[in-house]
Amino acid sequence: MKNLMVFLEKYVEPLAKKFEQQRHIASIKNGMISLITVLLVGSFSTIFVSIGKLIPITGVQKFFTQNEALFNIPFNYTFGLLSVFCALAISYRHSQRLEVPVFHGMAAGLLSTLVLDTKIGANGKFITEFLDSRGLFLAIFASLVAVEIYAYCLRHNVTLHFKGLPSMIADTFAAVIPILISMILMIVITTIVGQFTGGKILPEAFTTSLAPFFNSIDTPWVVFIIALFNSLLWFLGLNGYAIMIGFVLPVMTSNLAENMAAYQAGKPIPHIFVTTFWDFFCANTGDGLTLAIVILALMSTSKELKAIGKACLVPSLFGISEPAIFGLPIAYNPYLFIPFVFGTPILATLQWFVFHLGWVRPPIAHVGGVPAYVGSYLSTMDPRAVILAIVVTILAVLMHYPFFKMFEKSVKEQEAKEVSAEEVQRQKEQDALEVDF
Amino acid sequence: MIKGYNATHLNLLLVCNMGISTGLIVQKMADIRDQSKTLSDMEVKIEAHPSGEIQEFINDFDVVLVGPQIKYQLSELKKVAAEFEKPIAVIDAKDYGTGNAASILKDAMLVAIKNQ
Repeated sequence: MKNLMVFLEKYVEPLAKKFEQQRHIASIKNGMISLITVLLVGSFSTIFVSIGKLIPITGVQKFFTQNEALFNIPFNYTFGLLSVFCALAISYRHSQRLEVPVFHGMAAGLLSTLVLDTKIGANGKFITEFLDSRGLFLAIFASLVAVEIYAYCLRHNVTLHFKGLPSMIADTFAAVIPILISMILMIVITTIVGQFTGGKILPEAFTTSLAPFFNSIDTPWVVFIIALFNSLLWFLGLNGYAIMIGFVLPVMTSNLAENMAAYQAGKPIPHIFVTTFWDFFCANTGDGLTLAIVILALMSTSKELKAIGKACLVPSLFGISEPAIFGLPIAYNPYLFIPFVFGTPILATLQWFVFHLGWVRPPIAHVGGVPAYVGSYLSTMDPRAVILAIVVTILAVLMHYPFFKMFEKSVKEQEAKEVSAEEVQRQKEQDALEVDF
Repeated sequence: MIKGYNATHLNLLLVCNMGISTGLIVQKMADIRDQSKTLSDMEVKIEAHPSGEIQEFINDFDVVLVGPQIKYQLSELKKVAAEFEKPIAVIDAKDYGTGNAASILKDAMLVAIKNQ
């Protein structure tokens, strides 16, 4: 066990660092996190209408059914224009990261995205239908490329510059050539694609060719591997979710948009692997199904564990696992290694199958800031989802039980022992401050 | 006033992934600050923000405290902190997990004193 810890610390931790510091992945991650606001606004209307239709009064139901188009406006202007918001968010974050003037970076990213994701029809009208989730990946690509080109041009002086201008106006002129270059590049790409596909633009051509890629991610194997990495990283005391989402959040977001559109059209729900599948099922009550461990801590005969359990309960109900990960701790806790790192992904995969078999409707909306279980219901609008989430928590408690008991025994033995010299030194320094708390 | 600390302000910026889990700690720290006599004659602003936005906020603060779950970002965050000449430290994992806000505040003071 000790060798394993050393191995993980030596090889997995630096790898996580590398991923995190890779500037494109970092910008995608930060941009997609900003985009969640837009997802929440768009999901609100869908949930609102769904709940309205549930009210068993004929007049109320009729009102919601008749005015559905009106209530769906927030959905249409958010999810229907997802690529635009994505381009803004990612070019904003990437401009910040590369330390170039943010507005011009955003303009470059948005323009490049629009060139790839829209076209001008025969009658001179804009065709903007692909600015929804279908244009999302191109929006990410175009924004990163455009900001990179902009930053490259600024650093190598491929710009218009006139002497003696105030810096704000100089920035404006300096942005002209880089933005033109990235736009021309996108025009070349979109023209070539059009030549080969009979006038189609990239998202149009991609919807069929990218489908196998998306479906290959939405499989039990991939869910297992993602959940495994996630809990392994958390076990090392690193925010696994933060490291994984640079890769999976774009896919999850795009899948969510398709699920929502299918739900509104009354069609079968196409995907399982969406944002809220993670938030309220795989990582319900916090990454690693933390509530299960918190419940065991609350029932523990050790005073220390019980106190920590109390402190962790409310955060865990809101999906925040950090207090339990560091307080109990779960991180670097050899007793909990097996259930936490291997058990959690098994339960995640199990839930994938429950959705796949159609026992519960897969998530169709994004919700946040609501407690666990409530979120399970709101994100699926299916009461069976709550039962699923509760059953998974019970399974997680059972899974952790024997390992937790071993851990508990060691804590009780520790309680009898003394504190480390380092801790004593720190306590001394803190006491020397002579503050009144 | 804090013994051994010369400035009249001790503004603390806590960063984590989304600013949510540190937000819980900030609340507890703020409660202690409001009741403390030692800190009553000082400006002590305590805020939590996502680590991705550190550059937007760091200038208004005296010490940066990093949530232990993102300590893998420390080298990156250290660069930003060095640029703005602000001290930076990772919050003790045990204190963080158990919500021991008093201990976190004291550690922050020690960091500030060492770096003045």
